[in-house]
Amino acid sequence: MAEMRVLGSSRLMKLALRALILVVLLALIIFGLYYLLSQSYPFRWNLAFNPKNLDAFNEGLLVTLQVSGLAMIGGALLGLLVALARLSPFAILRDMGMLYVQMLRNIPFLVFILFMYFGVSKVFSAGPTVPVPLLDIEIDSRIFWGVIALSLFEASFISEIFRAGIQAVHKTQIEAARSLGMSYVQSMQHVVLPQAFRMIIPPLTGELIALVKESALLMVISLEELTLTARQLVQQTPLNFEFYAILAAYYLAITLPLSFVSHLLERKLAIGKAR
Amino acid sequence: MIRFEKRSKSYLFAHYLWIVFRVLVAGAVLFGAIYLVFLGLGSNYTFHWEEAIQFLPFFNQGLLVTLQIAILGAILAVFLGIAVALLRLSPWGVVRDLAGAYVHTFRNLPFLVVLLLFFFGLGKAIKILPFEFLGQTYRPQFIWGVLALGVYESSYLGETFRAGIESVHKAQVEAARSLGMKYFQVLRYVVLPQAFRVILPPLTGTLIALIKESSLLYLISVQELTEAARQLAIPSRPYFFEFYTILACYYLAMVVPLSLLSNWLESRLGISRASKKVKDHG
Repeated sequence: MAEMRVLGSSRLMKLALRALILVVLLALIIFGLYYLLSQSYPFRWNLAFNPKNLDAFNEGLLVTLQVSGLAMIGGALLGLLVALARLSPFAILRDMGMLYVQMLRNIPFLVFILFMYFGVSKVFSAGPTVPVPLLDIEIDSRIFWGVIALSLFEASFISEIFRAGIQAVHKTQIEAARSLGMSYVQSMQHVVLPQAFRMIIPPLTGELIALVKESALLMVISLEELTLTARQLVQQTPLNFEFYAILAAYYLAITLPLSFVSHLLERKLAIGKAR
Repeated sequence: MIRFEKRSKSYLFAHYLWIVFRVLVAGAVLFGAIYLVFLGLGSNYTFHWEEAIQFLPFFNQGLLVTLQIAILGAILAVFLGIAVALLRLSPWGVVRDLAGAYVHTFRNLPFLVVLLLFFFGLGKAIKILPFEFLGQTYRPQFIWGVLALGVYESSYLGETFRAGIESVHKAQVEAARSLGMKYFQVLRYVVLPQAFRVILPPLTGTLIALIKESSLLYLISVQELTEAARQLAIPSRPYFFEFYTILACYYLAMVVPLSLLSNWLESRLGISRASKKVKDHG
């Protein structure tokens, strides 16, 4: 036992050493490049790190997180529906689900958001706000159409994840559940989905990362999230490189932890694999 | 009643015809339902398809630029991707880690941010002059766009290539080395031909992603397909819905064949079978 602990700590030491070497080397490379660039471009970080600018970034971060969170919920619900349609016994539902997925997967999200915000919202002759019938509130139309477009688009990717997860549960399990007298919905709820869940979660975190990254495109409908905030700041003070580098750091601060969690879950939930 | 033998030519023809019919019916039902929803929500929008279709030549010009960007970007991404994959498989831990940092940084950033950082950030420090090639002038916007696209996608391709190379069993490399082959000989004659079948389907997938991401280049005013639609959709020509639908159709026409090709390659090359075999022997 004691031996193992010593072994573990030496492994940890090795890992720490490796990380240290990596950080030092990266710092050297980045500073080298930085020095070369600073010959032709005067960096002014102290101006960029003005607390007012950072407050603007934080506000943008909040909008990005809100929109991504709402779109993830909408996308997951719709994705489940599409996945069930693609697995239904009726051919027409399967084909419609297939068409939906293929069409949305094969156009750029940018084109889809332009289509939704400038095309479809014009068809509905929308104003600056969109009324919600049951809750009796008005939502900013940029947020409304942004979330709708993002959820519809992500649903096509998420439905494929759900479908793969559901299909990975062996058919005999459904047959067993049905022969015990469970209805289709019951066998889905109590037998299939809990098992599919383990397979779905890791790629779903990956999809969440993709969603956060795609939300950057909502700047084209002038939704004030992180990227648009950076662009507005650049228009006020021309510190291009500084602001976009800070923007990149903000995105990495959201996505790198998610990517790490996804990696961890993948290993934790690995089924039937000896480690 | 005619009986078809499975796999016979007439059977396959009838099979494909049946698929086309099913897709058409499903499309009709889906779009009919969407249209009914439009009507139900009280929309009184009049469509102007005839006017919008007159601008197709303008779209075609944009299509040409998009194809150029996609091809140049793909070539750059493949070469950088191979380099990254080889670095990630190098025997030195430090080199592996550095290549890993490159991959993880670009994979976790939106392409939009990389593009802005390249063109507005690096573009300020490093000046690229417009140049002429084959009677066409290429502006710095175009060059920065292709560079950003190539670098960004190389981080994805690097992982694809690495997975492909790693799928070839280690014993094969050792056997080749023991026969006296050099590192690059092993790579060329033993590893890459086998890795190729694992790499090809995700490679088409990345090409699709690349075409889709090239639409973002309109933000640095490259005259590609999306920019064409944006320039058409102005208040004096308010056919926004029509223009953006046509735009979506252009992208579908480019990408759906590639996507079908990717599916076909995947089933044709039988990746799952091949990898299982390797595992069984190990």
